Amino acid sequence: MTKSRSSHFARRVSAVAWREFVSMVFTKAFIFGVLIVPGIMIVTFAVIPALLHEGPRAVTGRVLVFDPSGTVAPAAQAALESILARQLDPAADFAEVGTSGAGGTAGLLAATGASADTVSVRFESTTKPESELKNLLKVGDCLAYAIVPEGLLAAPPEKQATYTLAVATWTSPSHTSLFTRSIRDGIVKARLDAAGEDHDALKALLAAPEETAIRVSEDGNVAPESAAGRMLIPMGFMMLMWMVVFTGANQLLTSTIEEKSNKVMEVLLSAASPFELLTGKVLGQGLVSLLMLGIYGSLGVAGLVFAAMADLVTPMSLLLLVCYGVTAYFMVAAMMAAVGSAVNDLKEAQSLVGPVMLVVMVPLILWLPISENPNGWVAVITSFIPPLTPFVMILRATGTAEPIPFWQIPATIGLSVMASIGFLWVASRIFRVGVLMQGKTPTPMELLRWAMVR
Amino acid sequence: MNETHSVIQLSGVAKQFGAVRAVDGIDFTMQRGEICGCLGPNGAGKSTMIRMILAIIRPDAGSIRVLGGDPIDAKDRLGYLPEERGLYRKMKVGAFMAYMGRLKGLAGLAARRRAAEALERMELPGIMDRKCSDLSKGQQQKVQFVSSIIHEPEVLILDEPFSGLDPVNRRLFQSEVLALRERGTTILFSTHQMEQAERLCDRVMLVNRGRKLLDASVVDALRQPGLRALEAEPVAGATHAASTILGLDGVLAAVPNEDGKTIRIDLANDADQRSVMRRILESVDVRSIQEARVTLDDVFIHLVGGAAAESATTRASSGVPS
Repeated sequence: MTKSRSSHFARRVSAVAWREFVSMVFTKAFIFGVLIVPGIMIVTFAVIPALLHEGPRAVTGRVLVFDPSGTVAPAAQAALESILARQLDPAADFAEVGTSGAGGTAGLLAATGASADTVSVRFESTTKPESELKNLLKVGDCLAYAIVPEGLLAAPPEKQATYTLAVATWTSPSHTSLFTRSIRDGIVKARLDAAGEDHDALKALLAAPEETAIRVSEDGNVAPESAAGRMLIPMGFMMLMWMVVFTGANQLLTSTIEEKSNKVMEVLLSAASPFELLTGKVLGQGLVSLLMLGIYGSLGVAGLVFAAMADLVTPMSLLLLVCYGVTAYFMVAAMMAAVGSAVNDLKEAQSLVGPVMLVVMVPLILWLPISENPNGWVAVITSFIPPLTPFVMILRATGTAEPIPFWQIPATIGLSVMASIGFLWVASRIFRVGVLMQGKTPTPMELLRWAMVR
Repeated sequence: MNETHSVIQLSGVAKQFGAVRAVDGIDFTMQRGEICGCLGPNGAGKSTMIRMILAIIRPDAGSIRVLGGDPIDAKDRLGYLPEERGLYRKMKVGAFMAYMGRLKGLAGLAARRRAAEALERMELPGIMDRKCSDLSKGQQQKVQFVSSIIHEPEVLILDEPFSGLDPVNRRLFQSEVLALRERGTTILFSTHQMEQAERLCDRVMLVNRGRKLLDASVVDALRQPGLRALEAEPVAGATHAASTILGLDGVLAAVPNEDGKTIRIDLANDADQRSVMRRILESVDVRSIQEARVTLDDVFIHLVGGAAAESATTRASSGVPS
């Protein structure tokens, strides 16, 4: 290419790329679309917990307990006071989880902010028949009533026996949980007292230990460990890459079809060569994808910092995200541009986009086996099959289950770059023929034939 | 022709799509400042030829030189208005002009300024901030035309530039085209509207089935052999008179004109015009008889329609249903 030709090339490519970028980014739809996802994330992580902490409805009244021994009501009262006291001491609640398995109740109460300030409930023994208790509940004379059969307090208790708790329809779920938990604990305590056992001592002995899992990074920093988080981070990387790649590539498909269907393509081709046009369009939408990657990537990293998991994302993994993301974009964008040039409308494009989508869905399907075993044969083989390479490699390289051989990183980046060039070359050959074609949708074989046209 | 002044030069250019030979060995040269009409029926190969001149597609054989070099290097110096026009619907006119200008090597501001001036000349002032989708069809056509000339191209290629225009706007377009020619722009346009070509062009090239049938000045084109004709006004019964005249020596065809009063009489190649006129006067009572004006329409039908057109007119004149 002469100097003059190369400067013309650069000017035309930059003009096309800038138009593509501006026409996508400076639109209400894009601004709304880009902001809505972070907005949902902020709502999910910040606003909803804040709303949950708004405070529960206050509850005042009595819960009537019918039991022949008359021991359950005082025991349930003690249990309620114990539960309310634990809301002020999260460590005590942790210990509780292992013994009764009712940590969910405590968690719910904690989330709703139930405390002695808002809960003023008395458990009272009663000998009234159930029909009368029901009437009392209906007129609001009590918050709830419980019927505890004798068999539940026997030693050993009857296996099939259950107690009945009746609440009014206006009782909140958290208050129902609070009553259930108190009565259940009260029954156990009454049972142990009847057997002459020390309830509190036994409870302490039965409490299962809670581990404090920590993660020590290569530079010696310590952070709380979360196995689920470690599994999700590679998936997060891949999904982020997948999303921005497809947003850009899909927009490329749409804009190519639009230019072809509204007949502006021929004017463009009189001013720029098909290769210049394709390069400009791919670069322009690539910038859009990069912008989205920057926005969502930054938000993701901020979220990890917030969750004290920032050590799982290294600068190297971010660099790999960009390298693999760029090559993945070029490969998928090349395919989409080729399809866009060959069809007359979006409906026609579906039949050709389908196979492309099927291929790049493979990493999503193989996420679990690849994350679990990043050096297994499935992971290694798919790492060397473009266009799967960047998607699979980002899963493998950002996971922490097992380090992958270092040579595979430069090798797959090199392969991805070569494949990107190959995909773009083939796409430009198809693009050059396709943009001037009208009529029936070509088959994949016809597209390949176009690529071979001189 | 002097090749040193050639702006467009095609030598033995051919292009084939599958089994179809769209352009078949065309030689063609245009000089600076000429207006040349490229005429031909649908599918004749005009658009393919234009696309090759614009380096949108490459020829299979032959060579094309535009402004002294490879057409790919001349893109910035060419302007093009395709037959199937299009705009970015959501784009504003000013942004579209700036984009087209940048593609052609103009700075965005210069492109906007020139576009505003040209749009004012085209009686479309103050539309730079309007979306293309908000414009009428005629306004869109003007915007597209302006976008093809804002970079002041040395060569302007127009594909059916006047189709779909009302007479007022057609005249506006024509005056703009002539003004460009005055400024030295070389203009090649393809059209089906022969009277436009006759009025605007210095030269015409007629192509059919990928081959060049005619390449001559308009004056020479109208002097095609076999295109001599007379026009007679019989005293009564144009149809009856036409069938009588058809039987005379030296008459190829005799067809009543649309006015129902006059007859167009095509002469055979070897016929002596005066002798035929005398024979008509002897056979039919006529109010007047004179040499008919040959138009590019006649040239087009004569060269493209050929024998089919002639047999059709003969059938019509002799009362045989076509």
